[in-house]
Amino acid sequence: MGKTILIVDDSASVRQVVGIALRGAGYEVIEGVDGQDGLSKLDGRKIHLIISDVNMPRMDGITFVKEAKKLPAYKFTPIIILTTESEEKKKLEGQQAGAKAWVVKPFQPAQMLAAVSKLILP
Amino acid sequence: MNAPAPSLALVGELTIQTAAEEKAALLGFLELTADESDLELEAGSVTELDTAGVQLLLMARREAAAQGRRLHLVSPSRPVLDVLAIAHLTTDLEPSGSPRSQEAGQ
Repeated sequence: MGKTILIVDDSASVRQVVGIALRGAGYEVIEGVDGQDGLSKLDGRKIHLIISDVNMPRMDGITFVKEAKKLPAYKFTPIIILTTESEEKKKLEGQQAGAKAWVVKPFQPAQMLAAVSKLILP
Repeated sequence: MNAPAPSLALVGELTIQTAAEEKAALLGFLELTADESDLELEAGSVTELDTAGVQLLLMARREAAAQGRRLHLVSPSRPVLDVLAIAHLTTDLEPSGSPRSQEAGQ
């Protein structure tokens, strides 16, 4: 069975494009439309990696990362932030919340896949 | 029979508020489909389009053309068609397919 990645992004087109790249590389993909929806997908199923946007309605990405890290089953799940935000302060905030990597959009799908394969849980 | 062209569905607003995200998606889509000569942007679920959104559509089309590829705007919603008509870009972006109305009976 392939490894599962959760994409949390409020842009349907970003989710589609990231999904195409990940599925093409053999991963299974599930989607959340914002932080709150993403959190609802952390329901005990095995998720090997999470990719999250920062600026989203209802629950932003930094809060989502913090909340995800509070869940024992996902405490060690690596999280990549994929965002248009390149501000250092935000990056530090993401890092402190528990994100492992920060990829700035527009992104090269190959660059994102390299980060995924480096960080994904065995 | 030819395989269908890869398609990216644009959903919701295509405006200054979403331009950065949508630009990332469009460029990523172009890169992921680099082997394909024909691409489709399905625009039936676009609820709002402003000048930033128009620039994005033109940018995507220009990028595709620069790579010798064709980008088709498919089934655009009424808001997309209206803005393209006002901007006199209907010929440039060549939308195809019936407009998908946001409200039945419009």
